[in-house]
Amino acid sequence: MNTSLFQVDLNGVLKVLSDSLYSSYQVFIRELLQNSIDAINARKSLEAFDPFISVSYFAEGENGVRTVCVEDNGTGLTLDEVDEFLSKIGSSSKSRKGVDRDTFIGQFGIGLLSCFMVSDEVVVVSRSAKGGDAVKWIGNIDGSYQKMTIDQDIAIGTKVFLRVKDTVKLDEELLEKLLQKYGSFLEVPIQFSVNGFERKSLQRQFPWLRQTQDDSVLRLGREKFKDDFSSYIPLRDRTGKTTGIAYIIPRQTHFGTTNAHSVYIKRMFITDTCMDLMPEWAFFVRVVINSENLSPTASREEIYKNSTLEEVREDLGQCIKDYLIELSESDPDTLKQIIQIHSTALKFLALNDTEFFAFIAGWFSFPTSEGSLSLNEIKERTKNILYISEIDHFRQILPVARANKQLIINAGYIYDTEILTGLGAIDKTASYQSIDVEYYGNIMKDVSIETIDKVGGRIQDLQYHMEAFSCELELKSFAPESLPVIFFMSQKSVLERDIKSIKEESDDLWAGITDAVFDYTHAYHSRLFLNYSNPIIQKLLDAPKAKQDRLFMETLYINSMLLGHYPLNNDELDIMNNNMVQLLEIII
Amino acid sequence: MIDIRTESDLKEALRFVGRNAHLATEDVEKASLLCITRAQEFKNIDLEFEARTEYLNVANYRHKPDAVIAMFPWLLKKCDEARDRFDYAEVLWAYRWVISSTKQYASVPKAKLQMLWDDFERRMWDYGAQETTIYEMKFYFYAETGELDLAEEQLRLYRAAPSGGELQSCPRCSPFLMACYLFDRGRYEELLETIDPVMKGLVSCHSVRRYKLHMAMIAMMMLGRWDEAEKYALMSRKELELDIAILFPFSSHLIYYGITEQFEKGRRIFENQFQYTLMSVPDLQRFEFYTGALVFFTRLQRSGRKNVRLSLSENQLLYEPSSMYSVDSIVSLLTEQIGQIVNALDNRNENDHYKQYAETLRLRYDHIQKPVAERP
Repeated sequence: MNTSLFQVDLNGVLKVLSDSLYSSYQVFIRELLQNSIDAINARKSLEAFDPFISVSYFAEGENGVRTVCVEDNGTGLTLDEVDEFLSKIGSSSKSRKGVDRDTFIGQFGIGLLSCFMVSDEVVVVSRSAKGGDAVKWIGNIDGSYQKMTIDQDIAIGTKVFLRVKDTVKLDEELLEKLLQKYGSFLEVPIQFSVNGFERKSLQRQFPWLRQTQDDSVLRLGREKFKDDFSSYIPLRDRTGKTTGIAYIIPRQTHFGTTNAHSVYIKRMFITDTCMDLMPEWAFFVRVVINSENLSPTASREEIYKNSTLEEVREDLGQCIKDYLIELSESDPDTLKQIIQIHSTALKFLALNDTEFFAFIAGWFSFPTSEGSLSLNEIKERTKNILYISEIDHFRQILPVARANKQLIINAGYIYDTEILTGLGAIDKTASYQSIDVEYYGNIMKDVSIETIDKVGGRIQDLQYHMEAFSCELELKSFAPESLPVIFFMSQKSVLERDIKSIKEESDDLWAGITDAVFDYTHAYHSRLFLNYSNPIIQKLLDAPKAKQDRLFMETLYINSMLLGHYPLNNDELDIMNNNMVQLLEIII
Repeated sequence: MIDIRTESDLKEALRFVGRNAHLATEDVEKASLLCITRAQEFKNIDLEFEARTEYLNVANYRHKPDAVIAMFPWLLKKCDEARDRFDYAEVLWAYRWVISSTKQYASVPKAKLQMLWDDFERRMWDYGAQETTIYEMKFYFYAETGELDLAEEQLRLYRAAPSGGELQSCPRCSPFLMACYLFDRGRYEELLETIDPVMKGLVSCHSVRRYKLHMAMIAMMMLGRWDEAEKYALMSRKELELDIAILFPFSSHLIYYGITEQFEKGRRIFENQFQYTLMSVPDLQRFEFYTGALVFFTRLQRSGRKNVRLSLSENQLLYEPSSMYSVDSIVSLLTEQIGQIVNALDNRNENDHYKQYAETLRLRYDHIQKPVAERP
């Protein structure tokens, strides 16, 4: 059996690289910088030297062609290595056995190919630190190459020359931007020159690694994410190999927002759009990290999703929790501010982390009948904590609660009910009770027997007009006197009302099946508590049976539904419109 | 719950419900109902469709088949009015739930059941569903209405037909098609072979573990493999939450805890699950739960206990303010209830399948006794 080698069409490979692997031709500069850094690190393992990387741009090179040259004084290549590593796709000096891969960013052996996205010809001139002659390699877009030794006394290192294609958009400004983006945090400064004149030296430090205290951390976040951050959290994983900063977004974020984070690996920029770096709940921060233990994918534009990433994610999440816990002692006002802005995210986190829940629950604020109060403040006022899980119910009974000087919590916002229910199970210093409008119906003062005897018949008359709505009238006496009625419809009733309406619009088959399986448990769908302390209700009950009773009761019912934010069905809408017409007729 | 004031809030709330439906909490159900209400207020039929679809999903997770069935016609009607506007495939998928549950209610007449089935089958063929989907659903249909010969015939067709395609059960779950049937027939060796991937943890989704591990527990017990039965009892119990109606798996636990005299564990299940049998759960599920409970209380009775303390909520069927109940009276009540359900189901199905099945179950568990040395 003969063994043959695959034939690789370089043009086809390049198309794959540019269309599928790399997001833009601009990554060629990152690939070259990465090769330089890896070469420098390789030489460092052999000897001490003063490393440099220089990038030169010639706007008017030979025949007016734009040229880019990237030079380093790294380990360089021998003639054999040129054959091995430049002329074979997928072969990399950094993926060889015995090489410490942790030292290198790249290892896939495809980086140099990205240069063909901007140039039809790549020229490499190199001298190896291992000795021997200088070598030259010329690679062409058609897949051919030449290699040779050259008799020139050049320094150890490598120069890569690219003649930029006419079709590629690249000028000195863009090149400088790309160098800033990809390489400004590298440990070796990049000397950038244009047309032979040194333009600038590019090198920055990650601000969180600096010893000095200034606002450089915040400046980096503002520059990266274009947001006006004022708080941040230092990050560090268990190994210390991943460090960075979580910037707290200075405004409320929608639940479930997935933020894009910025990732550097071994100081080389990888991505500004990493979505998997942080736990799901951490949607109130944006993060910049530099990692020595995460790995890039082959395109080096994303991070590899492996168990290390999972550990890093968990550790960075823990940093946020630890920071908040520490803040409760060192700077409670800032903690309050953060909780106020990001309560949804923190409540979600608390519900999924028992330890964190026990710490933070007391700091959460809830809307109450007395304004927004933290749980600790609520407990200072009452040990019998009443909360309502539905916003509309809260709105309805708010005036009653206030008139009765009773503190109630609006737990209708996301997670609040679960937080308060959870507290009920662990907090033995107070009682937690979920209530609804019916609870008020039950504790509202009953009217006297004499009153019932007096107005019972009248209530029966009025009840007749409510039958069509499946609404039950109940006479109570409550403060404030200005409130004539409170309307109550339970969720179960809302469902039953809805099912009934679906059934009415269904054909016989479905209507019959619904009747056979669905259990309508409520005799009435809703309840209207009439307030006998209210002058209008008193007047209504004292008045004799009248033709206008129906009009009045229907209007009262529909108004109370609208006040409670309950949707009107078609019949109710028709009644409302007809009644308006009748009222107009009476007035006119 | 979420404060929904705008359509954007509503979309956000729907995403919340979608992400959390599987948690099957009351809060998620309330949120999904609120979404329907708000979509109606906004008069946005597309969002209402989405909200009702989400509600159906939540109600299904919360084991409320009556709500699923009653809500479903709205979705079907909207699809029929504007087929291209809505996700018909999703509605047809929900139709499978409807078909599965409806036959379990004795109150649904046979004629209506047949009309429903015809409508379902026509829609599935029209949509281009694979024949395996039809055979699978028909198999369940006949098996649960006591037409066992017809069920076997559908099974044969199912096995002969090519698998795959839309609207079919998840390919990882479809091998367990027979499990319930084998369990009911007492074919435990075959059952264990069928659900082996679940027992080995190769198929690990929650719903499969919830509905299969209890079968492994009973099968092991019936085969006298008591240690393994206990192992699967522990594994199965972890998959079952007490605060939603999961009557079938819990009925198996009642049987097991009764026979192994783990009465405290059984009592806790009964106290928590009994309330759901008084709601609108399918009769077949009530039958299964009462059968399990009857085995449990019969064993309690045999152990010499006259009374049992039960913490039950106030209801018409069984409630003592003192919380002390006579075991004899519970056994009588369960026997009577089972008799009523069996009659209702058999009358509807026009056969005597459940009467015979109830007697088979009584005899099946009556003489099973765990050796004293092996009792936990």
